[in-house]
Amino acid sequence: MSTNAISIDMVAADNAAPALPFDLAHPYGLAAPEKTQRLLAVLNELTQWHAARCQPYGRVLSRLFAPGHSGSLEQVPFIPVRLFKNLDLASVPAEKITKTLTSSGTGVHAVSRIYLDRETAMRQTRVLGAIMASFLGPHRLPMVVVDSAELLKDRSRFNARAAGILGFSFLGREHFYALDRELALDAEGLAAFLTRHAGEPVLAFGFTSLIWQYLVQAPVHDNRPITFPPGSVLIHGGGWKRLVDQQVDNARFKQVLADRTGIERVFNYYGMVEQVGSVFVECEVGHLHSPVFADVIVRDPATLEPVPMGIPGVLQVLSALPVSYPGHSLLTEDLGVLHGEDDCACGRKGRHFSVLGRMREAELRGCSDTRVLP
Amino acid sequence: MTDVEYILGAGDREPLENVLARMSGMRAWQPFDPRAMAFTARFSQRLLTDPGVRAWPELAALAHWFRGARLRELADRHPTSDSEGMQIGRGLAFHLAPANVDSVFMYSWLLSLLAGNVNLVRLSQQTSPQTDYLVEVLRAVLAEETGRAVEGRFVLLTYPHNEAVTRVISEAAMLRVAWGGDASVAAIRAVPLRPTATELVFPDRFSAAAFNSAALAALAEDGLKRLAANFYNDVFWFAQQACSSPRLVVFVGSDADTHEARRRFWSALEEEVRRRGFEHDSAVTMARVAATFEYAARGAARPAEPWRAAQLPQRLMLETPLDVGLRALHCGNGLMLEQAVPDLHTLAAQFSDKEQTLTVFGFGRDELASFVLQLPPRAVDRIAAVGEALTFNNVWDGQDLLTAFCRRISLPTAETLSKLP
Repeated sequence: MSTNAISIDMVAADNAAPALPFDLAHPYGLAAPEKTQRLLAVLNELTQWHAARCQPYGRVLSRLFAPGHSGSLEQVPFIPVRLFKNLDLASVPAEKITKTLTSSGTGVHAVSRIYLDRETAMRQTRVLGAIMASFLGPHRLPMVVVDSAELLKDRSRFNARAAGILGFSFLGREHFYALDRELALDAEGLAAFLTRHAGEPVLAFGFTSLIWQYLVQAPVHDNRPITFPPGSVLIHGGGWKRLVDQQVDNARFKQVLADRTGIERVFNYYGMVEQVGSVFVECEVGHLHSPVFADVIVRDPATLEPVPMGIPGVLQVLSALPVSYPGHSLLTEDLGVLHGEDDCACGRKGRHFSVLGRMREAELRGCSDTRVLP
Repeated sequence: MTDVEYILGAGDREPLENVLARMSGMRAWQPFDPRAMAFTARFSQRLLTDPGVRAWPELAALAHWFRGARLRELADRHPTSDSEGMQIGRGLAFHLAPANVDSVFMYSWLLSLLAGNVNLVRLSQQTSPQTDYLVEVLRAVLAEETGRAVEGRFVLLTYPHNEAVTRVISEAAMLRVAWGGDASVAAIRAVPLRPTATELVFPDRFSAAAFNSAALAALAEDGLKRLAANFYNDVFWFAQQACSSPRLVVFVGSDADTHEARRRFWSALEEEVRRRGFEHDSAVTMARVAATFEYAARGAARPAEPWRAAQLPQRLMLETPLDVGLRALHCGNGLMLEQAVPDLHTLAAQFSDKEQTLTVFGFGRDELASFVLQLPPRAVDRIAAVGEALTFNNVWDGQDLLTAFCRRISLPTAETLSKLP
C-alpha cells in the first residue's frame, strides 16, 4: 500500500461510519484476494451499521438473511433497488440529511428517494474524483455539460440527471451548460465556448441519450459543424435504452461522435442514483471496471444464485460508500455478464463486465392493471 | 375525436357521434333473443373448433363457457317474462376492458348482448395476440348469416387515455361497465353518466383460501393430491394475477391440527409444482422478490422457511393483520401469504370490501352460511371450492350480470286488465 493513502475523515469515534481502507490514488490497484478482503470487511461493517440505524433494513436482514458476518462478497445481504421506490430508507436522523436524490421515474412508477448526509456526499465526491482522475489525469479541463443548469436550481433535491451533473462537474472548470431551460441547444454559445478554448482539450459530459441527440446528431452554428479541440474527452452514462431503440450501439456511437465532433476519447460509465460515486467506467478495451471501492456480482435471474463468468444474469452492485442509506449492496434490474477478474487487457485490476440492458418488467395479467384510463 | 380507432363494427373514418347516434337508436331486445343466442353459440363453436385456440386455454374456456347448451341452460334460469312483468335490455352499454386481460371483455359484452343490449366496447391500447385472434374469429362469424342478424349491435374500439372520448360515450350510454385497477375505476367513475344510466364496476379485488386444518390433517393421500392439484390451478394458471386467485391461505383450527395440515399441504403442493412446473421467468421472480423484501421491511411478514428466491410458492407468514397497503403490495407471481386462526369467525372479522373470492376446503355448508353472516359489509362476494377460483360465472362480484344488464318493466296482470272498466 502506498504511503500517501488517504482515508475519509472520521466523525465521533463511537458513532463512526466504517472507514474506506483504500488508496484513492490507485482505484484499480488491488488484486482479488487483498481487495476482496478489504471490501468485504467494510461491507460487513456497513451491513451492521445500517441494520442498527435503519429499521426497515434491519427487519429485512433479520427475516431474509442468515445472521452474522458474511464470509464472501456473494453472501453479503442485498436489497432490490425497487425498495427505495416504496420505502423511505435512511440510516441517519432526518436533520442530518443534506440532499435527496431521486431516480428519473418513468410513467406510472414511483421514484426512488436516496438520502445523503455530508459524510456520504463527501465520500461520493472523493471516490468519483479518484476514479475519473485515473482516466483523465489530474488536470481539470474546461467543461461542457450537455444539459440544462436549471436542473441544479434546487440544491437540496436532485433527480438522477442533476445528481450526475453535480457529481461529475467537479472534474472540470469554467462550466458551460449547453442546453437551455427548454432543453434546446445553445449552438451559438457552444461554438463561442469552444472557440475560446480552441487551444486546449475540453471535457464534455452528459447523459448518453442527450449526447446523441444534441452533440452527435450534427449541431451546426453558422452552417458549420461544431467541432471540439484536439484531445477533447467525453464522459457519458445513464443507459443505452433509447439508443438501442434507434439501433445505435457503443461502437457506432463512438464512430459517429468522432466524425461529427472530433471527440475521440470517450468514457462510458455504468452508475445509478442509488450508488453515486463508485461508478463503473469503461476501459480502452470496452469493459466496465470495478474500482476498489465497489464490485459487481452476476446472479441467475430465476434463482438469484451467483453464476460463473461468461454467463449473463442480473447485476448486483456493491459499494463501500453509502453511510446515510442502506445502499451498499443492491440487486439491480439490469442484466450483465462478467468477463473476468484482474485480467483485463487494459491492465486494471478488479472484475470487468458488460451491461446487457434492462430486465423485462413483469407483465400485468389479470384485472389488477394500474393504468388510469380516461 | 380523431383518437378513436375502430376495431370491429364501424367504418374506419366514421365520426364517433354518428356511431353513437346509430347505436342509441337501436331497440333493446329481450334477454336471450334467438338472434343473440345463435350468434353467441356460433362464435363459441367456431372458437372451439378452430385449431388456433389450443395455444390459449383461457380462450378455450371462454368458448366453452358460451357453448349453445350453456346458453339454453342460462335462458331457462332467467325467464324473460312472467305474469307481472318482462325483462328487456337497457339499450346502449359501454364496456371498458382492463389492460392485459384478453378474455374478460368478451364475457362482459357477450353477456350484455345476450341480455338484449347494444354494446360499445373500449379495448386496451395494448394489443395482444389473443385479442387480435378473437377479433378475427368475431369478424368471420359476423360475415355469416348468424352474424348479419346482430349487425350493428356491437362495436369494438380503442382510444388513448382521453377523458373527452369517455365523456361523449358515457353521455350516450344507458349502462356503463368498467373493469380495471382501482385507479382506472376511480377515473372512469369521475366521468358523469346520463341521469338515467346505471353503472357496474369491477375494481381490484383480493382473494384468499381457507382450509379446515382438522379435515386437511385427516385427508387421505389421494384426496390431498387432488386438493394440491386444484389449488395449483387456482394459483398458477394466470401466474396468480387474476383477482380471484388466492393470495392468502388461512388455516382454521387448533394449533396441533394446523401444524399437521400445514406440513401435509405444503409438501403436497411443492410436489405438484415440481411435477407441473412453473414458468421461471426473471421478471416474475424479480416482482416476487421485491414484494417479499417489502413485506419484510414493513415487518408485515416473514418467510416460513429460510429465504430462497427460487422457492415456489414463496410462503410468507403474516405478522400483522392485512390492511389496504399490504394487500396492494401483493403482486401475485407465486407469493403466498399465510395465517392461522382458531375459527372462521375470527377470519370473517379481518376481511373487508377488498375481498372477492374465498376458496374453501373442509367446511360444511352450514358453517359457511354462518361465516357469511359474520362478514363485514360487502366483504367476500364468492365462496368456491378449491379448484374453482378462476371459473367465470354470470354471478360476479355479488351480482347476476344477466339481471343487472337488463331492466324489468312491470305489466298489469291479465286479470287486472280484464277487471278495468
